[in-house]
Amino acid sequence: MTAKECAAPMRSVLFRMFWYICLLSCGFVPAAEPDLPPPSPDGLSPEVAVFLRQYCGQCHLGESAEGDIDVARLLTLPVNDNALDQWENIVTRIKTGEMPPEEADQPPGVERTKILQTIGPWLQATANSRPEDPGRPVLRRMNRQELHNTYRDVLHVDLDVNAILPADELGYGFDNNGDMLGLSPLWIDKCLLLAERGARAAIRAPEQINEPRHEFPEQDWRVDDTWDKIGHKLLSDGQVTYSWQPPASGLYLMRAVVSGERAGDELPRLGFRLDGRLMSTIDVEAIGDETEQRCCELNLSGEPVELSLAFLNDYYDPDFPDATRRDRNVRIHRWECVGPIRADTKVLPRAQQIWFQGGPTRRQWTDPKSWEGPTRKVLGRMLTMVYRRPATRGEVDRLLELVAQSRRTGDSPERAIQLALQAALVSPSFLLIAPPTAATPGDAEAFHAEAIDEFSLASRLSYFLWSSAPDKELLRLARDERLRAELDTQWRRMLADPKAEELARNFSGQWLQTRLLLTHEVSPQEFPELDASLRRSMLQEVEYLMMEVVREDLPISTLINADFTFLDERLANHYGIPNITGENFRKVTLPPGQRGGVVTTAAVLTVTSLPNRTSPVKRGKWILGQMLADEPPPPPPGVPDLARQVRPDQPESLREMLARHRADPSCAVCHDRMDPLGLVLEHYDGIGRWRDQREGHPIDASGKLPDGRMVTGAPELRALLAEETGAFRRVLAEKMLTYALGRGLEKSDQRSVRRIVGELEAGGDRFSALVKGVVESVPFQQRRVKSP
Amino acid sequence: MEQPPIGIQKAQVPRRTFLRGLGTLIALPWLESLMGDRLVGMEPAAIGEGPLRAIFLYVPNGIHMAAWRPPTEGALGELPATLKPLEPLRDQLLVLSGLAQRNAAALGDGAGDHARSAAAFLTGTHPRKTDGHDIEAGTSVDQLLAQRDANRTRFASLELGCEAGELAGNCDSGYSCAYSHTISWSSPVSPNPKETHPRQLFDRLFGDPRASVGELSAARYSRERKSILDFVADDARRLNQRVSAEDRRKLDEYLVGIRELERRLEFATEEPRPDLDAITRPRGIPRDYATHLRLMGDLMVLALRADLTRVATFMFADEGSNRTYPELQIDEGHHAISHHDSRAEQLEKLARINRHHVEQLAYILQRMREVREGNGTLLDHSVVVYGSGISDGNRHNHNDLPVLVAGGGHGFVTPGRHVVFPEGTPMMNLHLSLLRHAGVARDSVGDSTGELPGLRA
Repeated sequence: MTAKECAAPMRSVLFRMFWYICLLSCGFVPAAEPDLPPPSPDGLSPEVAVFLRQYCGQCHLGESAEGDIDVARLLTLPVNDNALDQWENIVTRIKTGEMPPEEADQPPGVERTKILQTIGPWLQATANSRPEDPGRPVLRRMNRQELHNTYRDVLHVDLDVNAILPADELGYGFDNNGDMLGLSPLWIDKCLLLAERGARAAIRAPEQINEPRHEFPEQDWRVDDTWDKIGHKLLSDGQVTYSWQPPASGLYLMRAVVSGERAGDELPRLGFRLDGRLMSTIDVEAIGDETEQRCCELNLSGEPVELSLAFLNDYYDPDFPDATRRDRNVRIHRWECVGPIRADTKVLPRAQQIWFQGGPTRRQWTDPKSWEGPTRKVLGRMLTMVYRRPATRGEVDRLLELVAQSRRTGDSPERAIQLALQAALVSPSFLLIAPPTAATPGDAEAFHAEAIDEFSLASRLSYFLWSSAPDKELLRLARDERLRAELDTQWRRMLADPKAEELARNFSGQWLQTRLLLTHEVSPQEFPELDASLRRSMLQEVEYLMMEVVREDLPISTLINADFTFLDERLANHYGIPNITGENFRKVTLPPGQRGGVVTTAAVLTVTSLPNRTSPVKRGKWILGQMLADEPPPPPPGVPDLARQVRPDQPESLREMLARHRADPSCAVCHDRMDPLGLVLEHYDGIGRWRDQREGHPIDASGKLPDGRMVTGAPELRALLAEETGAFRRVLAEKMLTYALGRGLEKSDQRSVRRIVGELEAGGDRFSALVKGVVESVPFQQRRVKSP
Repeated sequence: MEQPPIGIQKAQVPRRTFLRGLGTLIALPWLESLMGDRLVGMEPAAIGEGPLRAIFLYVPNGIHMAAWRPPTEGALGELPATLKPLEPLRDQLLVLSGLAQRNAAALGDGAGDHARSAAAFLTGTHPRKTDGHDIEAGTSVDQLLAQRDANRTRFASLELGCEAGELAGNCDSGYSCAYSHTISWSSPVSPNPKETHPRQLFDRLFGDPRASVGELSAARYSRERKSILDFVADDARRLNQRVSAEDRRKLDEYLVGIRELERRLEFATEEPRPDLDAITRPRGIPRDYATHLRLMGDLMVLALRADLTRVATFMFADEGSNRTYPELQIDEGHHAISHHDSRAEQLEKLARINRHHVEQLAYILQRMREVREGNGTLLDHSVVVYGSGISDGNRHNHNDLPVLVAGGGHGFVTPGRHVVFPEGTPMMNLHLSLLRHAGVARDSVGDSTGELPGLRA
């Protein structure tokens, strides 16, 4: 059977199916009816079908179609994602001349061009008309940096998060990858510790206030015969009393550090008395060597007072079998008053000032009927900020239970709400960025795309641009459902905010891999200069450069060929640029030649070097991967890094070694592309310093590209990169989308990538166009939702 | 052959005794004041037979095998150069040659032997090649042991290391860094992160969780914690109904963590703690690698001794580590050197690094041997597996792996010998034997084909 015989026109859909089944099952081919067009998808000219059958059918038809591309199947079945990929594949192969293969019938050039001109627009239109898939949903928790910033912006607390939490694993080159940010037991453990510290810093409970403190010395207590002076305990119902002149009027805390000896069914009960009046009773839970601090708030007028601690429920059973459980007593280890506690709200932590507006007052708190209302309000305000959306009634109810339990044991409202805050800070609702609000489909389940709610959108925006929680304005707009309508104004506002430095820092440090500087190892013999401060300066140069691009909305090409950079004295010396003094970074105009753009920063040149020398291979690989969206695959298994020298007695230069390496065709495939790009940078040593010679030989900074072009030195490399605008746009679109979504890109994201590239092109390659493209993309704006 | 669980029931000693035992601990360079005044001079604790402990130590990039492998089978004679530092412990060693982790090989997945060898070391599975999405290996043997012991100790297991991970880029050829950074997997989709900071480890092990919240009774503290954990677990369960099956596993992991914390609260209330005033917390990460490693080792031994845990993994360095060893006058990266291309100069450097690691192993084993437990030592009651998932770093082969077992492990092995297995014998057979010895009933684990013969003479 020849391909021509297969090109059979059909009468109807039914007949098409019959034809198809026959083709697959019995090889039967109906007779040709030349006046009817062959089957082909809607909107595609039948000529294409004829062409494909004629020139591709010999190998790509039926069950045993090569490369799993069966043109008959492709022409008859509905156009889905998989089919579109196949079409794209076909277009590329025909365009490059790879298909049909040399030994097969070749279409005349005119026909080839015509067919490509027919398929191209159809393919584009068909692809664009299909509903866009927002891609795989990923639950993503905050990483360390995001937690730090969120604590800072929501709790107004600056904690050293890195000293508490373990490092986050990277995925697809970024540390905000949802798949890699696990919720391991170790992490939760530490997260709870972080929450405890955060809650105590965000809300200050009177229980933790220690100034001004007035200790009541035991020798000045008035005691009766219930007090055991040696054991420091109240043996039976009775009390110790202290006459005290408070320094001023105001709120005081009477505090006692106590422990109990247990007997009977009840815990030892202790009463706090003011002028004989019982103000509060508590159960003493600490036993044995343990102690606990309990307290009671007092409003004092400034007049002298009589304060007492009273044991209220003595119990004694000499016959109880367990000798340690026969006698109930209360031991008092320390007694003091703290106050007056300044009512001045300015000294309260900022979050507390905001959340505790309007109560609960002390009076409300002690009143079983009126504590709940104002407490709910506090919890509501707090949770809206912490969960980055309004809390549900149920969430507030459940937290209120926790608060009530604490209240019953005699805690202050601040301490009780502190506990609620701690709980909220380890809840998935806080830790996860924009978790799904509707059922997520499984792999095989039907789904449709839905716009995410505006609160989720606020979070996605703020974690993308600020690595932190949304601010009040974003939450307000989300509440009014106006965020989407004002999206453009909002992301521009966010980009202008100093918090957007986080985007510049986190994105550049990982995209350009300059963060590696902090752990990059060098030989102390070879590069003793590379100390911590030089590393920091190197890293900062790149961050400042990126910030400048973000802040001034410069074209992304600035990163390739800027004629300025940011330097402090240390780095300026490193570069041999005179007249820069001090530790402040400043913008410096560069003389043409040696420096300019990220590729020739010491940061990049260092992290792409080995500990003791430069590595043209690593540098070339970096340029391909980070600048040209063309990262070569890793070497096949079992291939040594650099092959053995043929004549160990004859020293070989690095260049010669690489050349010998490329002589092996399996190495050459990739190294022909990598090595020359790296060799061009040989004027920069392993920590990015300029050098004119190496070991007495002048530097040869030339590289021959696979297409035969010679490139010499950094300026020519810059020019080369600047020409590759398409590739550079694509790199930034891909990396930025990966960073913004917190997941690796998939096939379904390619449309978004193309659109972002288009946005850049249309927007003069300004940085804002990149952000616009990402923010407006379907995977950023929508999510998969399970269809009913 | 099904073995009865050994050791665990014999641990009749109350925890209090173990903790009191801390006071009599051997001198530790960094924790010297652990022998603070108040603890020194206490009666040596009467510790009975210790429970069975399992410790897995990992070194990356393979070994220069010629300097590792004992020349003859049978009783260990004079040790080869790399193992030399273990000479005083020769009677405690069982060197196993010929074991393999077949699933660490490419099997069609191309480059990535480093990532695969760490991931396979204790799982015996072929990890899925991914940079993040759908990460998967297998439940590791330490975790199978830990899950069995979970309710007996405060910490089900410890995961330790000396390297805190990459800050940018990729680790190995399209494999997520998680594969290279841990050998411990609590489930096939949950790699366990490790603790690398001595102070953080110290605080977690010995710190009083109440210390930061002022004076609270233990009962009150644990009640408050319990309410918090209940609240968040409830939140997680609610969310669970909306997420994809894949993410559900993540939330399940969260719930496991919450349960573990709840469980630990029970220990917190019933156990007294070592006197914090008498212990100096390590300040930071020591600059010197060996000191860092030994400090982590000291803390691990302390935790084992106090029966805070019975299972630990410890990666001396992450797989593929390109650390330089200036203390050994080596300023090239370890990984680069491991691609020695049979050059004598590189092999010598590699052997020097290997031996340096073995010196640290010897230090840890010595510490374990100095801890008396009943009629034996902590080392007698432990199984310490030391090795790499790569044999020759230049060839990236995963057969003929460098593996040794130290400690008697309650009769798990007869040490003092070198046993050579037929080429390609699965290393997982060793793990299967260990699991069964510890009373974990399994038909197989990873690619095991049966128990490893010849462990006992």
